[in-house]
Amino acid sequence: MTPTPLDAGIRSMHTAYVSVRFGILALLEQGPSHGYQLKADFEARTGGVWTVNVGQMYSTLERLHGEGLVAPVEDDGDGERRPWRLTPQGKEAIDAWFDEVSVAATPPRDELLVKVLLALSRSPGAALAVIDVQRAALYALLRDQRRGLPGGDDPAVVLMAEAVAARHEADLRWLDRCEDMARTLTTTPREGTA
Amino acid sequence: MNARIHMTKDPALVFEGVTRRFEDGPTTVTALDAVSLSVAPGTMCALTGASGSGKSTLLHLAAAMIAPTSGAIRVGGRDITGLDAAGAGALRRESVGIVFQRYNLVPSLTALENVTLPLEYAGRSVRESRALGSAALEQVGVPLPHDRFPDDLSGGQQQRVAIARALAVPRTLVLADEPTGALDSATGDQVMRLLVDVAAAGAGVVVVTHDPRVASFADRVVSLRDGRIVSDSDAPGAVSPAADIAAPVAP
Repeated sequence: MTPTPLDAGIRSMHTAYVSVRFGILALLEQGPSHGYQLKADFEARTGGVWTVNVGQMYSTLERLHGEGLVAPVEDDGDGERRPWRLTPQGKEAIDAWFDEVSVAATPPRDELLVKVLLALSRSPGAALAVIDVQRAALYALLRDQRRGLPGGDDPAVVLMAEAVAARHEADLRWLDRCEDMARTLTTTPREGTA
Repeated sequence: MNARIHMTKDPALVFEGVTRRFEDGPTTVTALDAVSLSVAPGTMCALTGASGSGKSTLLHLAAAMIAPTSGAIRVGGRDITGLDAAGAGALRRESVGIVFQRYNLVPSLTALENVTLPLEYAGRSVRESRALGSAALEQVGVPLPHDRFPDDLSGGQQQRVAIARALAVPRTLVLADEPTGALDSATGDQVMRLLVDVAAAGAGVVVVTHDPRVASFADRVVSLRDGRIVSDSDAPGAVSPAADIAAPVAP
């Protein structure tokens, strides 16, 4: 189950698409918005480390429209300034994504990052729920990986396994920091809204 | 270590709706809130969580160092909820081994004497205690001679002596509180492999840690927050999450 560089490449393309797609749905959950504003909000919510080109934002919006997950707000502007809203199917899709756990394979790390940050912008409690589920899944994965290690002491095999384990451990430590932050926000609720 | 540890069909440790409150001046702190947990013999369970999550309280309750406010605790099928101090002491001498972060060795006693002291205190003869102690030290890989003092041993060797002390008699349950906290990572891995062997030989092992690497040696990782279990690697997604999950922030 050791990921290859090719897996990683495919995963990173997949991750970028998945993250923008669910980023849009998560932001529209908080109210209608248009493409350029969504781009700016997505970048802000994910800590400014993620840049999205605006063309990708529009094409993803059109694709989500085709799937019935978003819809234009009726008769309100057109073209680039056209505001979009979340449909009930879109709401179901974003709820399912937050609840979803990947235990079959190495979870894409960047999707984990985006998922936690977007959940935090929903509410601290939503972030804690995502953190709890992902942590349990990561520990199950780490255990299975340790059990599945081939015997022997081939340094390359040992170190490759260590590399994968180190990534999971780093994600778990990061989830601890996220939990601290979410708890701080829970106990001292911010005035107003996002 | 097979011959040294009781095999039992009962869970090594059971918590049934255990709550523990502490009075802190005028306020009451609920350190553990109706926690239920069962640890099977022959497995290692790691407890993780931030400071104040309740993981150390859970460990102290399992060792009968403190009593629950409500709920029931069983070790190897035996109810330990209402033990008095003498009963709790006997439990720790005979059934429950404890490994601490800072080893807690007596500096003026040799490695062997540190292991044999509780055995003699429990009423075993000097000869039997020395035989058990030497065997335990050898088993966990403390190099000879065993009459060196803790200060002459490395941190990893001191922790091995502490583990030998915890395992010198057959144990139903072994509790470890940040057992690698004072060790470098390679030595810490060795200590964890030792504890994995202890579990494989039939004891239930509970390790409290904040370190994901340490926790990853366990068969199961249970995480606590505010005195409650919030995730369990044996049941990802099954633990009921925080109350306000689906409440999005208004635009």
